[in-house]
Amino acid sequence: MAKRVAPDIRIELPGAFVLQQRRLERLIRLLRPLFELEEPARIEVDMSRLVSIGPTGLALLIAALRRVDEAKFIGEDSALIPPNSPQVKNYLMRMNLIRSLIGGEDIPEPITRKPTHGFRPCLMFSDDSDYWRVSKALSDALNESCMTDEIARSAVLVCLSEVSENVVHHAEAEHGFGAAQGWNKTSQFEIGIVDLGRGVRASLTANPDYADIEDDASAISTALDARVTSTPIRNSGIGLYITRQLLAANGGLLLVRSGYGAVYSGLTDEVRTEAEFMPGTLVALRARTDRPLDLNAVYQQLDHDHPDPTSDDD
Amino acid sequence: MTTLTPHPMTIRLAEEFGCVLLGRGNAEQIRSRIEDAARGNDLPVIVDFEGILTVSPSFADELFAKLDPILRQSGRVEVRGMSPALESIARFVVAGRPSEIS
Repeated sequence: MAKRVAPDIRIELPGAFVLQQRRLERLIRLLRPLFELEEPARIEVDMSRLVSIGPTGLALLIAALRRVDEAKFIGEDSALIPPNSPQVKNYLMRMNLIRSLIGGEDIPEPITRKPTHGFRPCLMFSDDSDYWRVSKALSDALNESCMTDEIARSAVLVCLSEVSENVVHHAEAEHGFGAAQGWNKTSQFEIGIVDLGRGVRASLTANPDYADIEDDASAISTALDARVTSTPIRNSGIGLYITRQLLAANGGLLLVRSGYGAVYSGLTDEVRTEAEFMPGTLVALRARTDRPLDLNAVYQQLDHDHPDPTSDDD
Repeated sequence: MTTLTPHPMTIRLAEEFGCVLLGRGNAEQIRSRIEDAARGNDLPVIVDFEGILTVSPSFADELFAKLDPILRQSGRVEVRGMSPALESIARFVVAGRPSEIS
């Protein structure tokens, strides 16, 4: 039996990679060799001890693998070692981990694919027509799995379209990746949107008004405020702000992670400077399905929070 | 007897685009259509929001805040059927582009 060639890069992904600061940072750290790789190499990604991965982590993993695949950095004898757990292995197949690396081609799979209901595979988008399709597909999946009402469904669709539109118009990335999952038991859903583009700070400081922002955490924090955008002629800079307000009112969470910065925004904000560098931008939305998710309530609050200075009664 | 009273052009958004309006590109197309119709007609163009559940912030910005202020102020574009929430986001986006409403 031929001896297996030792890989140049070995990435092991043991444990659970869910939407928690420590676990997400660990995933970014473990994937760093894939983000930094600049030439072909024998790569081994060992998922044998993977226990679980949430949609945000999955979107990040697929973005990283897709990057090295498109750049043709995956050398001969590279390997993707599947999870030992049949459930996790099936989940990754259904979420298109493998397909995403081979251009979506149909390949023989050890699973029977049924029509998707309650989930959609991790989806890639690249332009104006794509982000629209992906937003609709992911919000449909959440509606199927969580039985959300029409108000909540429309709010999810709006937020998804705003976040993914940001990737297309601001990230200067080849692609964005989106994945979503709902959990009826805990009455929650999570959406992850990831790109490996220029990141929030590089985008925002292209606007001279924000050119002096010196760190990633401040850039993210500023970008979450109302009417902050890198392109004020074209854009209004309220999509992320509205998303943040919506999730805060719901008791959910908005995470924006870019460069060394991270903002976990819910009822309160936690602004962090992390040890690991996240190329591009990761946005995660987590919301409760047993509480209102009402965009129109957020809109009505705008009159109170941002009174029009030109219409005062003085 | 047939009357020849001209009817104002009405754009029923929910009928044409569904009950959730998204996307800057879509709004840009609708805005262009409204502006073209308002400039080429003596009657006001009616934009009917009846049945619209909500709109995205970027849609609202592109449609309301970038609408030609001359047309808006002249009354040649008439907006109907907006819920209080939609009126609120419309005010917010217009206030965010003060140079375009002067």
